[in-house]
Amino acid sequence: MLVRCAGPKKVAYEFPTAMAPAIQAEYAKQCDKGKILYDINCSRCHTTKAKGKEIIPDFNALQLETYQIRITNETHENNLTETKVTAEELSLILTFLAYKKKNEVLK
Amino acid sequence: MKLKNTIITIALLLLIAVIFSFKDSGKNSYATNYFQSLKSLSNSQSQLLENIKKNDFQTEKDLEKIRKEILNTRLKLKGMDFWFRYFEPNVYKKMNGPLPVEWETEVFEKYEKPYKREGAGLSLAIQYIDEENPDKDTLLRLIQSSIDAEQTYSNDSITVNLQSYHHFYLCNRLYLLNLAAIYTTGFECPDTASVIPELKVMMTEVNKIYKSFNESFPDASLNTDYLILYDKTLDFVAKQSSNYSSFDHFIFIRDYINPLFTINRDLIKKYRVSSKNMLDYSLNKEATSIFKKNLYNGQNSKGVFLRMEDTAALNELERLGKMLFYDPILSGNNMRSCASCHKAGQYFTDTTSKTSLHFNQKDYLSRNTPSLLNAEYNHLLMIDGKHFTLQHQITSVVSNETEMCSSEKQALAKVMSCKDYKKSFNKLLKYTPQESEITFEHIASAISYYYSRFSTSYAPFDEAMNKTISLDPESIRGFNIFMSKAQCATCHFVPQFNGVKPPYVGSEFEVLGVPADTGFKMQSADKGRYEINPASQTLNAFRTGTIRNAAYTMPYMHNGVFSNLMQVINFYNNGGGAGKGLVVNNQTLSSDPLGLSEAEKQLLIKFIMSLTEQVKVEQAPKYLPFSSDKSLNKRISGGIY
Repeated sequence: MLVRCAGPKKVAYEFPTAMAPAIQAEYAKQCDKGKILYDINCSRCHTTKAKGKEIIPDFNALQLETYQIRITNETHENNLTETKVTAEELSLILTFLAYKKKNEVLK
Repeated sequence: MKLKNTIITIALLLLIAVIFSFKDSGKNSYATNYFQSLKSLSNSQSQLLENIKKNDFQTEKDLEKIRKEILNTRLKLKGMDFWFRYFEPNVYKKMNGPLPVEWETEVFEKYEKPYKREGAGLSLAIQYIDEENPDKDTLLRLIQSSIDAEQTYSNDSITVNLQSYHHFYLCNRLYLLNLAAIYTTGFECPDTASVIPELKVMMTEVNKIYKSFNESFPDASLNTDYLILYDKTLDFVAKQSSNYSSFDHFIFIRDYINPLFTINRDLIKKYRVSSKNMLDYSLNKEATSIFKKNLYNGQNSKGVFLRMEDTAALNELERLGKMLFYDPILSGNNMRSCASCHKAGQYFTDTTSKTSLHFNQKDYLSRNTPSLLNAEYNHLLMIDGKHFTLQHQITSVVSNETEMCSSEKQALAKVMSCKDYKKSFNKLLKYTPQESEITFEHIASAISYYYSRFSTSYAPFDEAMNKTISLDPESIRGFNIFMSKAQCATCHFVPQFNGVKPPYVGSEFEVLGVPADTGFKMQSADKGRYEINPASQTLNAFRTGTIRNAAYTMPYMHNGVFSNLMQVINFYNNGGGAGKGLVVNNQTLSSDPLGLSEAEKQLLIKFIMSLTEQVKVEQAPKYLPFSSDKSLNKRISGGIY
């Protein structure tokens, strides 16, 4: 379970241009942690594969609404509890998903 | 012939219509019950408002009339409590709020600022009408708020819940927990004479809810065992005294409410009930009794190792945690450890001094050392609620100049200079793939994991509630006083007897007017919660601690001012600081004396003794890991002060 995620592939992030480079670097660190936690806790249901490539979905701001996502559905109610993912970890995952580079639209 | 056919057709159609309408009413009887009760409450509240407007407010008789009407309207409200409290707890505070203003931090909001929540409605109205010269407009405002709040409960977003069975079992779980924790204690019912009469009405109304639910949801219904036991519970309550101080709270919970909770829990599992309500955030579906420690999840004692399940790895974490707990390497001068103040043989607190020594070995700290036992059953930690996690708390003590006077960086470097620690932590690193190296968080997690292992023990009281032993009659009488006349249970809630009440998502703070010394010349200068969240209501407010093990965790209160339980009980019996004549703004404890007799006080102490947990005591490790820095190898296990 734990090893599955630890692939070397890096995901690109998109930060607002107004964000100072030092802050961007800080956020990038958080996003890296968030990515690993996403892989452990979320990818099994949310990551899809297309042409051999793993695709992490683009969630909108409403879907990334902090603690509410713990009870969005039955799976989350059982698997996204505080005993499985702490509040701090959840916030790292949400940071990662918010700044992750958006997927290219397939035509 | 044609006519005959037509008649038959019409008759058939009618029959079908009748069958469908019956089926329909069966389907809707649960929702119908809800809407009818809501309508009845609405009428009653509007009528109350009109009658207050018409009332002259002159004589005692006028006021008594209004008082009676408020109590009658409260009965209707109690009939809806089952749903209201679960569907929209914050709106419900406008109808049945126990306090005018509360500052709250719920577990899922703990990274946000505390919320100010204003109460209104019928419980405050009853309290208000008993004050001197109540003013009509204020009373009207309290009732109007309740009327406005009530509208929320007819919104589609709420009533849509009634279409499925899921919410029902979760409402019922909360209802049962509240029957154990608050409904019999006067928590939201300032008129103590009404506590049991209101309870009787509410429980009868809930029986009607049960019946209508079973009609509407035959495939997910309450089973016969549950209904029979509930009927027996109603019989028991009917035969009990209407005075909450003579009510047998112990038998009520042990023989009725807790077994009902167990059946409801089995049904939650059986019907795969799922929640979309944040109120269920902390509660654990696996808990088979209210008096099991897994009832709700407070803190994550494993910290960064949260998802580590491997027994060998957990044992290793515990071993590391134990050494670190006793290792003065975490302090700036390598002379102090966690065990310096949290002594294993003293219930993980220091019973020998009011407040512990300052790092400088001369002065004393301003607050009493809290026991680490059961700390994990709080959402906010420390007496002022400053910390959200056990690991933050550990980090803060290590870096606090007056306590251990080190820093995360320094402590980490010193720990990792020891071969045993370094090797062992590095082996555990694979369990935290999000971290590229060992951090202080790993160290703090090992410590919190270690000492939290001591919070899994039970007290005779728990075992008696779980029917594995019987409890002596004096402890039982003490519990009954605790739950009623002594008013302890309105702040120390079943089952942890701390400030976390059902559904166990927040911690409560109280202003008691604790004195600076036993001469009661002035209030303690400690601002408490105000330091974290400044507001007029939080000045001198402190987080409610647990009664568990209190018989052995003296001295008491945030400043350790009282050295024995009798002093604490007398303090409450006299109405806190305000009752002793201190000027305490916004004391949340009534300043009226409780009128406890000496015998009753002794019984309370008996009950508190029965909450003493069978905590195993471990010896400090003899040797601590060697460091590559030789100067560190003189350190003594447990520290020297």
